[in-house]
Amino acid sequence: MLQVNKINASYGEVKVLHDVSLAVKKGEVVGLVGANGAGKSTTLKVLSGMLKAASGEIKSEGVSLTELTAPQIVALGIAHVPEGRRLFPMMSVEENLEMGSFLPGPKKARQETIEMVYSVFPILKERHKQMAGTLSGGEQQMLAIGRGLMSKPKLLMIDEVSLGLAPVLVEKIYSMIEQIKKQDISILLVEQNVYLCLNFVDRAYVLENGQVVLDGTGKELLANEHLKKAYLGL
Amino acid sequence: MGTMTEATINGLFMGSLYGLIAVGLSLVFGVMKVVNFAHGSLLTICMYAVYYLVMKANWNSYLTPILVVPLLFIFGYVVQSKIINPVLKREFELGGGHAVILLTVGMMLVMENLCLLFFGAYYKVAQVPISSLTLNIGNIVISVPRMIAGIVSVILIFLLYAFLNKTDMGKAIRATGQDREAVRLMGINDFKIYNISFGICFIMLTLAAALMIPMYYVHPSAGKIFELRSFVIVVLGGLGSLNGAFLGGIIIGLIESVTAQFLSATTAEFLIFLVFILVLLLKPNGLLGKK
Amino acid sequence: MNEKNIIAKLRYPSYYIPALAILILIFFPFLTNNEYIVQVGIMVLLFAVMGSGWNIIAGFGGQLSLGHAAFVGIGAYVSTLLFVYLDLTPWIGMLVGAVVSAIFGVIVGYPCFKLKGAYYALATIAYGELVRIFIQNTNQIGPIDLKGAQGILLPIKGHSWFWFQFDTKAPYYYIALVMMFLAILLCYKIKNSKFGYYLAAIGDNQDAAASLGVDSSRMKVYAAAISSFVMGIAGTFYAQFLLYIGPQSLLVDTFSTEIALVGIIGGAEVMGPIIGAFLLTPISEATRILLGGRFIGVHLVVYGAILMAVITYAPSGILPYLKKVYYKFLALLGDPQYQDYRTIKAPAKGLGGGIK
Repeated sequence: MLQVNKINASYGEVKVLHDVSLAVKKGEVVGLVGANGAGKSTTLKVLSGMLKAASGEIKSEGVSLTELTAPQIVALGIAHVPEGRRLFPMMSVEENLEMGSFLPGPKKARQETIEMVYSVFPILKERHKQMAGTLSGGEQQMLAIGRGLMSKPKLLMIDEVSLGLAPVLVEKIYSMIEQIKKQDISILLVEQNVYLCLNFVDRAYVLENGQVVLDGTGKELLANEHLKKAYLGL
Repeated sequence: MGTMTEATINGLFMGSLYGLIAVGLSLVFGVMKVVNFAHGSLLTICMYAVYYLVMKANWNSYLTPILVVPLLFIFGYVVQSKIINPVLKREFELGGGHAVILLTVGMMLVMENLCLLFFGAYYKVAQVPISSLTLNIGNIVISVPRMIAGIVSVILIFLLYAFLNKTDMGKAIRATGQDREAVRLMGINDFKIYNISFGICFIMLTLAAALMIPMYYVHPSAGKIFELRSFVIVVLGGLGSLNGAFLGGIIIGLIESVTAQFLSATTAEFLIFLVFILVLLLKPNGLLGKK
Repeated sequence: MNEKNIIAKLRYPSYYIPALAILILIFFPFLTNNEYIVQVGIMVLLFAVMGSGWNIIAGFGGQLSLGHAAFVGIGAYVSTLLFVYLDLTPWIGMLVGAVVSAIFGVIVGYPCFKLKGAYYALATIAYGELVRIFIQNTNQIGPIDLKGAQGILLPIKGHSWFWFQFDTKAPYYYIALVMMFLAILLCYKIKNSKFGYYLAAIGDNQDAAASLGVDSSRMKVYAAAISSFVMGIAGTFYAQFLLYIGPQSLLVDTFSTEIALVGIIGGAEVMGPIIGAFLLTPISEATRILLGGRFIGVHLVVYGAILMAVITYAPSGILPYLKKVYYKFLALLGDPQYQDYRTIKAPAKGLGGGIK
């Protein structure tokens, strides 16, 4: 589904990613964990075309994404729920979802997809007329994920899944992601909460200072000594 | 009492025309956060286009948009994509600076003075039968072209509003104004949206020009006075807000018409700029603005 | 540095070329018999002065003013009225006009300085227009004849230094030349003072400057006062040189724009507006003289096109590029200090927002 080969990226003079490689297979849920500033969000930005990679290669189903712009990458079925959610605050919930399906392909299926999103996130249906800027944090996260789903992606990349959400909501969001997974959508998620993430995903990559230092299945990583010490406080 | 009613009615009609002229300026600001200092000279170009079609080809002024609107939409689209976007892109990357404002100042100088060179400094007037037509209700006299301009302007502003709220393209334009990076993640090309928005600004100006030709002289700085009005209007209503532009237009139209009726046109002019400064200083986000 | 040293250094191109340029400027009126050309020279120097004044607030402080004609106009009107009604010598009138202009600059500047970016530019247009509309429509204030839209013709009170009136252009030229050197000196002093450093910080990023403890409103008010003082001085010169002041020539927005363009196209450094004036003003004067009234506006088309090109390709103005060429030239001439011209510091970030 997605192969990333040795990408490097920087913000101005500061290099933030060093030879990051990873892969997401079809139908897989992959986690990207690490401390603040390790380069998790930057990795997603490079994958979705928000940030240009300085070098390296990104491929999806044989197509090279390296030279493509963000709008072109969405059209290939890779959706990005960005850091900070980036909703359109002065537009209603429904309008935000409609924007998610702006492209001609997803637009044809808009009504069905909206129904699907509403069935996963019923609260959004209740609030469909409300301005996105007035939603609570959890609702905003649901809307951001819902908006990502509207482009009918084959791969959904979600940044900061649980950041700033109450534990009850986090659980709820994860059970909703579980539902999304069942619809044959591959998922790449970035998560600060390492324990939660590793228990949920099929496989995960651990980023430290812009480099992949570990990877493996969730269970393998949970048993890893370095990881236990550094992230789980065990 | 009659004069007051007349001044008010005139003010309302003029105000909605002003609103129509200002709405494009506000849209462009709302979408790309650029105050377009060439707005007035764009209006001048639209006025010349309509004028020549009326005088040389004997078109009815109100029908000219059929031809002029598509032409000038394309012109606006190309100007935005070839001239403004490269500078805008650089400003996004490096932040700060007044580059785009200054670019529009340059555009203003070029367009206004090219008009001067090509069309001369003369005041041109398109005397069409409707120009001098008036409607008399009791002792109130209303100029017919002004009435048409007022009413049609309201309808056009409403149509633009509906376009922005009901169509996908309109919503994409609003979304781009709120978060141009997020919009890219929806598969929307933000710079293309800028091109379209600038084209729409031209559409509104062309339509305004068609409504104005029966009433106004055309000359190289014809647009300038409306540009200054438009600045006042959009700041009054809050930069980027369409409702605000309409409201601001009405307020300025009324101030101008009533003051000119009872004091003098100069006092009106002075008062408008005084209001402008006061609004800038006291409520820079406009009368409808939050802060 | 003693005199001997300077003379010794004149063998280096980096010393003799500027010295040569200054000599040319000083002897310029003797190099030509053509009064028109001297007139062009005078206008260049005047625009260099006005551009430098504008640059203090706009170039150094990053506040884009598009209403600076108002300050020139105030200086011109004050000194002219004193000249006409009180027989006051324009030399004193010049100072009074400049002080009034500076006071006006502070009064309108103070409330406007909390506005940022385009809002500030809009406010400057608004007060520029207010001044124009006021003067254009005021024929009389008490006993004083302001002559409204018609403007004021200055009477000839005798060709002497006392009356600031001469029968040849050369004295005007030298006055303007001294004014330009003083303006350069003033800008240089400002740029290299703590005040100049604060201004630059504000222009770069007002919030960041504030967090470093820079009192940005106070700095901007100082800058506005100095800037409008310079404009006021230039205004008196303008009035005495052209012997006519009127709202349609002195207070129109195009005049403000021309002043700003000199600074923008030159660049936001001390020499920026000087270079800008030397490049632009001859275009406008030449078209005015050569084409007469037939193609009014043609110089503004050229100005506009140059502005667009500069903003697109050289947003820091022309000066940084000219400097590069100049340094290279010095290196070619064999100046030892400029052999490594490629490493000489990067251009300052102008109003155009800098270059990569």
